[in-house]
Amino acid sequence: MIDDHSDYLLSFAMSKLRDIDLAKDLVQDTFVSALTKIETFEKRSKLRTWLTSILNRKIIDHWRKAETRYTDPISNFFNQNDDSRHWILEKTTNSNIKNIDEQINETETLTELGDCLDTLPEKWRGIVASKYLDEKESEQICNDFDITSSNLWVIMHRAKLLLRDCLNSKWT
Amino acid sequence: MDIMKNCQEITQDIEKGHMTKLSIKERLEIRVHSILCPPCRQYFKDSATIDNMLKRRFRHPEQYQFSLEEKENMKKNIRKV
Repeated sequence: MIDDHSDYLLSFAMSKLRDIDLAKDLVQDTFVSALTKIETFEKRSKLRTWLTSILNRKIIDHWRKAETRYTDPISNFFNQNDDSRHWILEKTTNSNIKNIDEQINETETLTELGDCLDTLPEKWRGIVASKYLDEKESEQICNDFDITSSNLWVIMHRAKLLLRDCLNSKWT
Repeated sequence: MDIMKNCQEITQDIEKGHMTKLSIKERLEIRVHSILCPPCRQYFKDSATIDNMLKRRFRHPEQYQFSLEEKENMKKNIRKV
């Protein structure tokens, strides 16, 4: 089981987390959990899929715990009550994302994007991964992270602004 | 009277549009606002581009491996359970 699946599970965990030690711990925990409840495994599903779902649950639990350590990321956002009609203006003057995406070599662009993802608050990064890696529905993401759907849009919006700033700054 | 949504609300609605279906009113608001507001127009484009990049990024995740020693350790730890 370990030989066949551990590297896959580690890669999966690392596309959601940025801490390799944490990822390794969670993969190990996954195998332990799997063995203790092996009787719940239904033969018709694939072992890898089953293990991945256990790991995913552990990652979500980690995010939920991590969240309590920080102040609510959204409250910062709403507290910025400076003239919101113009705030986005300043953030946009030099945006060149389209060119970055089209002109620069694909692998390099995506690596840079990965670095930018690492600068996001952990919970946001998790939400982005849930949307784009697991392709989860909004409702499911809201459930996992215990947020409302409008929180989700605000976080995605804020995350994209940060990603855009980050990508633009890497190429200027 | 404040009938126009501000940039923050509009760009949030743009994001909402990536996750769910917008109402006709919301789509119209985005369209009209974007005609008048270059930064939001820019955000509309950038948001779609980044969306696309993120999809590609997560389709090809980086590969990580445990060392042989780590695997052996894991097996030992698991046997204890």
